[in-house]
Order: sequence, then C-alpha cells, then structure tokens
Amino acid sequence: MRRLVLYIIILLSALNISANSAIIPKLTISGHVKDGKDGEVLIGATIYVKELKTGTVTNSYGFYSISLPAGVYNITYSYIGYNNVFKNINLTKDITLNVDLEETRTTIKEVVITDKRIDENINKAEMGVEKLDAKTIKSIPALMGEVDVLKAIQLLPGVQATGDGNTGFNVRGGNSDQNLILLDEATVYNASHLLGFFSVFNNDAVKDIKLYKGDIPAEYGGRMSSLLDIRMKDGNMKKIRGTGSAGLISSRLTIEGPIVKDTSSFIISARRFYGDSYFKMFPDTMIQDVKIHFYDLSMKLNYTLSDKDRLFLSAYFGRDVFKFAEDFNLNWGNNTETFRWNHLFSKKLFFNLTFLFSNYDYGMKVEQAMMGFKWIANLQDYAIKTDFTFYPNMKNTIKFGFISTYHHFNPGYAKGTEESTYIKELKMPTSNAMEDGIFVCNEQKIDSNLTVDYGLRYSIFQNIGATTVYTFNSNHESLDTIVYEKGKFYNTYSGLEPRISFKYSLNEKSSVKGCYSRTMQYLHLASNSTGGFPLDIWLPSGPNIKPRYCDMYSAGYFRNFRKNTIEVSLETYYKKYKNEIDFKDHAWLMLNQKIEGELRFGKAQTYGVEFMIRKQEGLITGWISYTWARAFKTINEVNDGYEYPSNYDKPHNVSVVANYEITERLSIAINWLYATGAAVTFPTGRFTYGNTVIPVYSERNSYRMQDYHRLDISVTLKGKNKPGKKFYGEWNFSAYNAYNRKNTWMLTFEPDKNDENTMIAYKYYVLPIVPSISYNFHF
Amino acid sequence: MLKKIFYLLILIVFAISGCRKQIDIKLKDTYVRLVVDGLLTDEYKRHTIKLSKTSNYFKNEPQPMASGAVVTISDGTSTYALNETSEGIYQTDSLAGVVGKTYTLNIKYNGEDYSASSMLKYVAPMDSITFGIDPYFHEKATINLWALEPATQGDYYMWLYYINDTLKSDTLKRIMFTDDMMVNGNYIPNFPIYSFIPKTNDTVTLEMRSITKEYYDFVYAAFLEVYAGDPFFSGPRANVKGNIVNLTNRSKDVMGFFSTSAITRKTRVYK
Repeated sequence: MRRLVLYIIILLSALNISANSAIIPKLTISGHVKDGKDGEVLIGATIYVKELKTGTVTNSYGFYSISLPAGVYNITYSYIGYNNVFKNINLTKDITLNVDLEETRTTIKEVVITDKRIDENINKAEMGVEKLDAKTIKSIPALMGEVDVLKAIQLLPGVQATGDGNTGFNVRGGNSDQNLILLDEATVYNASHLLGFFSVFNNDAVKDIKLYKGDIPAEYGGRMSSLLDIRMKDGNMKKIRGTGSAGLISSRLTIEGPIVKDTSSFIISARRFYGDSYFKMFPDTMIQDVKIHFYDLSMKLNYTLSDKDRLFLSAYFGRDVFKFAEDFNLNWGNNTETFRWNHLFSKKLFFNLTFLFSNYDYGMKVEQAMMGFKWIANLQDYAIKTDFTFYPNMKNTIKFGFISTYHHFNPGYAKGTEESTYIKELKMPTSNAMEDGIFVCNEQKIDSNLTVDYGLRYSIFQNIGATTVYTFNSNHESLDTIVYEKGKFYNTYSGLEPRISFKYSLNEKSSVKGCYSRTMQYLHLASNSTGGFPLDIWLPSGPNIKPRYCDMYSAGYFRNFRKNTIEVSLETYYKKYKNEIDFKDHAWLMLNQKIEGELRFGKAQTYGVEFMIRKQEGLITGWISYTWARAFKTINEVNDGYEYPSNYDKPHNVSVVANYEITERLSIAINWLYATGAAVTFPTGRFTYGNTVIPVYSERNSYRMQDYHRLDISVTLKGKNKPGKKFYGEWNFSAYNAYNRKNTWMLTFEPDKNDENTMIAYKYYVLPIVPSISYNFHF
Repeated sequence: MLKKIFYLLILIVFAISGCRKQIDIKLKDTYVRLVVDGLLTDEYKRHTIKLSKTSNYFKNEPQPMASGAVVTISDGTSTYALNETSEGIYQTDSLAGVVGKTYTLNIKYNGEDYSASSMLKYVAPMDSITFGIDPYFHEKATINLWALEPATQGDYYMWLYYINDTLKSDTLKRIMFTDDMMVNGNYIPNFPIYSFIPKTNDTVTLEMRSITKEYYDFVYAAFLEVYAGDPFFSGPRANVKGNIVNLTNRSKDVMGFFSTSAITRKTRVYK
C-alpha cells in the first residue's frame, strides 16, 4: 500500500511539472469522429495537427480531445478505409468539432495516400497490440463461411489455436484461461459454440476488436496473458439497414437503424446454426437422433442525450444445445449485459460509468428411470466500473478509475431426476468473491520523439461466504473442512500491477519500443480439455490457491514503408509466471468437491520473437507473420518436478493472409498457416496388467505431433452496383483446408482387434477440405 | 456412469466428423521396469502374484516374465512365502485374507528389494441380481445390481462378471469400477452394471469386490491411458503409478499394483 501512495505522488508531481511548463493558456478542440453514412463512432481514428506535428486518436467511444495554444491550424482527420477530412481552424476559444468521415467507396481507384496521417504503429507507446475491424475479419476465408473473430485473431503473430478448427487460443505461451475476453467490457467466460468449432461472436454485430498481447492497459486486469476487447456496433443513426446471410449450416440476420434520427439507434443481430439437419442423412440411427445446434442474439441501444451525454445498453445471449437419444441433454451458454453512460464533465474530462453483468452456465440432464440425473453449474459476475479520461494538455492523457466485481461461483450441483433414481444429491460448495481494481495511467509525450505510457493497478481479491473450504495436508488429501457463514470475508489477496511502456522515434518512419508489465490473475479454469468442452469450472483464488502473476518484458522495432501503407514490426518478449497451475496426473475435475486437491503449483516461462509485415490499403491487403515462441512449465509433482514444454509449445508459426480485389465485384482471399506440431507425450515402453497393455512414458511432452498447415481460400462475388439499388447481395464460395491436409487432431495407441498384444498408432483428423457456399446481403 | 456418457460424446464427435488413419511412429526406448500384478482376497484359496517386465512399446508380443524372485506376503504378525509355480507366477499356500488387516508384499528380485502394502476392506453384501434391457443396444441384456451402499463415505467397488463360469470382464476396458460419491448410503435398486448378449439358460455371475482408494485411482488412471487418450477429458498422458516401491533405488519406477479385496458374488440363470 505504501508503494502505491508513493507511486501516485510521483505521478502527480510529474504532471505538475508538465503543467507548469505549459503556462501559455491552452484551448481545447474536442468531439466525436463518426462514419458519415451510418453514424457509427470510429474507434482509433487519428487527429493530426500539421503545424505542431502532433495529434491524438479517438477513444473507444469515438471521442477525442486535444489542447493547443490559440492559433490557426490545419487538422487532418483520418481512419483506415475512409477519406481524410481536412479542417482549417482559427482557434480562439474551446470548440466542439464532430467530424464525419466517408468510407472510401470505390476500391478500384488508386487510394489517395497522405503522409500526414499519424500512424499508431510507430507513434504510440503501446506494443503487442493488434487491431482488426469487422471488414478485415469478414474478408478472411472462414470454416463453412462462418466468419469468426476468434479464428481471425489466431492468424496474428503470437496467437495460436488450441486445436484444429478451435476457437480457443493461446497468447504468447499463456494458457487459454489467461485471456480476458470482453464484449462491450463484459467478461465472456466461454467463447465457444459447438465444442469450439465456432465462437460466440456474431461478426455482423462486431465493430472493432483489439487484442493486447501483453501490454494490457492498467485499466484492465484479472487475466495474465491477453486482453481481447470486442466492441459491438452502436447501430445506424441515419436509416434502417439490414445485413444477413444464408449458409449451408447457419443463417444470420442483423437489423439496425435510428430510433430518433441522429439521436438514438438500435442494432439487433441473431444467428442460428442448424448443421445437425444433415445428421438425418447418416445411415446410423444413433447419429440420426443427435441434435446439435446453437443460436445467439446480440442487441444494443444507443442514445445521445446531448453533446455531453450518451447512454448505451448492450446485451448478448447465446446457447448451445446437444441432445442425444432423447434422454441425454447438454446445454450451455453465455449472457452478458452492459449499461454505460458517457459524460463529458468538461472538454478535457471524459467520464464513463458502466454496469456489467455476465453469466456462464451449463446443464446436463440424463433422463432415465434408474440413473437419471441433472447437473447444473454457473458463474456470475456483477460489476460496476467508472473511468475518467483527463486530457490536461497536449502532452498527457490520464486515465483513472476503479472497477469492482462481485463473483458468484456455483461449480456444480447434481441431483437425481426421479424418486426412483439411485443417485442422491451432490453439491459442490458455492462461494463468492469481490474483485476490485483501482487504476491510474498516463500517456505522456515527453518530447516529439519520446512517449511513455505508465500506469499502476492495485487489485484486491476477497473470498466471501457462505461456503465450505476443504483443507488439505501436504499429500493433497482433505481431512477437514471449514464452514464460513454468509457474508464472511474469509480470505484476502492483493497486489500491485505496474505497467510501463515507451516509444522512441528514430525518425519519421521508425521507432523502438519497450515495455514491462505485471498482471495478476485470481480466477483459474480447471479443465483438462483442449477441445472447447463446455463443462468449465472456474476456481477462485483462496486459502488453497494463491493468485497467479506474470511479469512480462518486451522490446520491439517498428517501421513504416511507402507512406505508412506498409507496416513492419519486430517484437520480442520474455514472460515469467509465478504460482502457475497445472493438474496432477489423471486428475478428476468434474463434480469433485475436493478439486483443489487435484491442483499442483509451480512456475512457467515463455519467450519468443514476432515478426509481421502488414499492408492495410490498396487492392491487395493482408499480412505475413512469423513467430518463434517457446513455453515451459515447472510444476511440483508433475514430470517429477522437471521443466517441460507446455502443451501449446509450438515453436515455429507462419501465417499469410491476403485479400485481392480483382474487380469492383470480384475478390479472392487466402490464408495459409503453419505451426510446429504441439508437444505431446508418447509411450517409451509398456507393461501388461489385468490382461491389458498399459504404456510407460518418459518425460512429459518430449515428442511432437506432426506439423500443422492449412490453406483456406474464398471467392466473393458481389451483385452489380446500380444507382438507386436498395438491396445488395454477394455470393461467397470458400474452401477450408483447400489442399486437404490431414492435420492430426489426436493420436491414439490401440490394440489390434485380433491380438491384444499388438499395438497400433492411429491419428484422428477432423477437418478435411470443407467447401462451402453462402449468400450474404445487406439493404 | 459419467465415464459412459463421456464415451458416448466422444463416439458422436467422431462418428460425425472424424477420420482415422493408421500411422507409423518411431518411439524411444527406456530401461526395463519390474511389473507386479497381484491380488489377495478374503477367499480361502491360493493367491497369485504375477511378476513380469516392461518392454519396448511396439514389441507386440507377450511381456517377458520375471523369474527367480523371492516373494512373501505379511499381515504384520505372520509371513507367508510364495512359490514360483510357473515362470513369473508366484502362489501362496491356501489361505484367506482377513477384512481390516493390512498386507505387505515383499519382493527380492535381481538384488533389489520391492515392497507394497494394501488394506483389505469390507464389502457390503449384494441382495440380488436381475436382468434388464440395455437402453442403447436393445439386443443386449444388462446385469442389474440390488444392494445397500453403506453410509460410510469413501467406499470403492469393482465388478466382474462370469457367464457359465467363464470370466467375461477379462481386461481393464471391460471392468466396471466406481466410487460411492453419488450414491453414498443409498439403496441401489436395479442398477445396470454390465451388458452382455444373452442366451437362454446362461448362468450369469456378478462378482463385487471392495477396493482401496489407491487401487481405484490406479485403475482409473490405467483406463484413461489405455482407452481415453482424447483431447476432451483425459488431460495429458502420464505414467500409471501403482503402490509398489523399489526400496533399493527409489528413483526407479515399478509398474503394476498389489491389491486386496473382499469378494461377494450372486448368480442367476438367464431365462
């Protein structure tokens, strides 16, 4: 705590100095930057002041504020894919300037390139950050034409899929439970539909995503490895529009429009997957009876009260249903809700108040006279967050605020369904926790070359009753329990999470950056599954589990070519994890009251180098990236306490993503990716016990799966664009895994049917070439 | 039971999307470990300890036996010597284990000492067995158990079945085992344990054994390693560790298990 106070004093005095040096009165230009056609605010649009060679970018709500001395200025507003807007301003008093940008419609024309745009790649101190907008994501070929945010980010350097066709991802060697996935700031605990083959996000409702691979702003916390910040569209402010698609396995429809023109808007987006209708064609009656489907619904309301106040309400609801042979039913889903109020206290002080709700639950039901049972589990968050952005002068952008989250954990409750069932009630102890974070950070431009982002987060995690805590001895056996009454705060952890990064411009085209951050994590996912299986159990830190934390050091070189149209980055990182968790061998995680006894603790380290070259404008857009990354764990009692490569240690990764607009109507997109095979454990010997051949293993993960590679292609043909036309359609033809590579999904050793003593190795692969066709439309 | 459901899930996933292909893999070699497969029960008979050795994984022939060992079992007061009746097969004289006693197996083999202990636990009696129809495979019949599960928590069971005195659950894959987590203290009425293809006048015997937690963990681990190497549930592969220790060199692994069980049986003719 003392350190925190000290840090705040230093921070404030730093501000003082910069404030004192700026005695000349400053005037402020502020406002929102929007898409002129639909009124959507643009996140990360740049505002560049030619005379001072400086500028700023819009925040997540499209708001900007810049303070300048009185004078005449030429200001450029720009955003990728949009035409620049130039303003000549005689600044004599504070002004509000809302700017509408128009999308660059005709892509075939030579794009007007300006060297006036300040480029985030080389000018912001933040590093390890990747941005994708909905349009880019849409242009990437997708499995069964189902455009997917999470599949798209797996093509970025430093991000790997947990399995073939899976939406789970690992960032810079971190476990997939170390990713904070936020949908309009609400936590999404399980982002997968259909055992992970699709993500829960409907791209038609997504505006913009930003992935922080390490340099997570102090504003966010609770996960060690990454932040995926997904923002939903606000809805068209000008007129009613619709977007939709009809595909072989799913259909989508989105309607958006103004409630009151230029004041309020709505968007509602629905999706339904019906791929199980094909099961009827299988000869096997067991499969004919299988029902697998999902649906999701995203919704947002947006109301501009005045220039100073805006309200947002967004909600997501999704559910998967898996039925088998009439008596087995498994379903799971997320529900998130966000209510936000943006308020401008002054031109320099932007305020945001957010209420958040998140629920993840699953249920399983077996309906049988004797062995029927019902199993439910859920996790709920209620949170309040306030954050202020203060633009005191041109050199500083300060953010501060707090977030307070109440978690409710119900890890599992099972009960017999009928009087006659032999199964009685089985209850995992429920529990609660408060997770608080206060944060302050500043982006400070020290001179024209050096920018420093520094921030501090102080997080507190408190376990609250009513609950039963199992106590464990050194052999991980539970001999006793402690019962805490309702409302009792029985355990507290806290920690300081400093984050600092800097950018130093070498010249107008290149810069170097460095970063250190500490991130803490109080929630831990107990899962033995890499397959996106829904039976997640989130365990809070508490008497038996210490919080995990990670220190990350990274450095990078960034350079732009050809008037900022080609961005090149080279980043390297080293991460050290403490109190890292893994499971004991053959752990039993489901419906286990003593699950904490299955955990083992230790440390982890990961390191790597990421290279990316990206072209965002022109007829051919896309990127090529190469990542070299290693990930190791050292866990007590696992692998005899020796260090071993993580399951997701895949050293070499290449991805190529390209989109070529051949004509105004026809475009072709490809992506190709390559990854070293995952580290796995294979037998070295065998023995027989109970007439069964059982393997003997050497060190954990000392073998490699076959290397993974895959090519996806898609061709999009748009309808003719005639004046006055109201309905636009386009056909999308795609092939996932176009050269039909048989990538290993799992490898097993099975005895020969005729001879129990003969073992045979088999590989299973799930996604061969998958051609698909879909029709997309908007009106 | 949960095990069964997960099995079905895996089956479905593969039936829908999976393709399987036999492949060749080159595997490393490792040192030879002693393997123990031993069981002592409360029945009066000659109990057997089988000693064998590990081999390369793809050796694809029966395991080499470990001959010439000195094997004893002790209950704390008496020690019983075992005789090697055939290569690697060591047998006691006729005796019955006693419920509540802890038995220690000692082996001296190739100059190294090995030891394992296990407690012989009480097994509740079965009331009866009946037959039912398999809900998934209608041509099969089920052997259903009727019994009262004792109220003490932490009981573990293993079942085997015989048709006309031939052991049918003869590999780990076919053996059913469970804990009492979800049924503790309940009367278990008509609970299907096994499925079999029935023939009229078959004599069906269900055998129920009490097992220790350590043995349950061992069988469960072996089951995972042998039959469920999937990415959904089984987690990373790891050695199936038993209760046998190499006293001479503790860092050397010993495979297998020395288990103790009380046994109860019910027989019924299928009509």
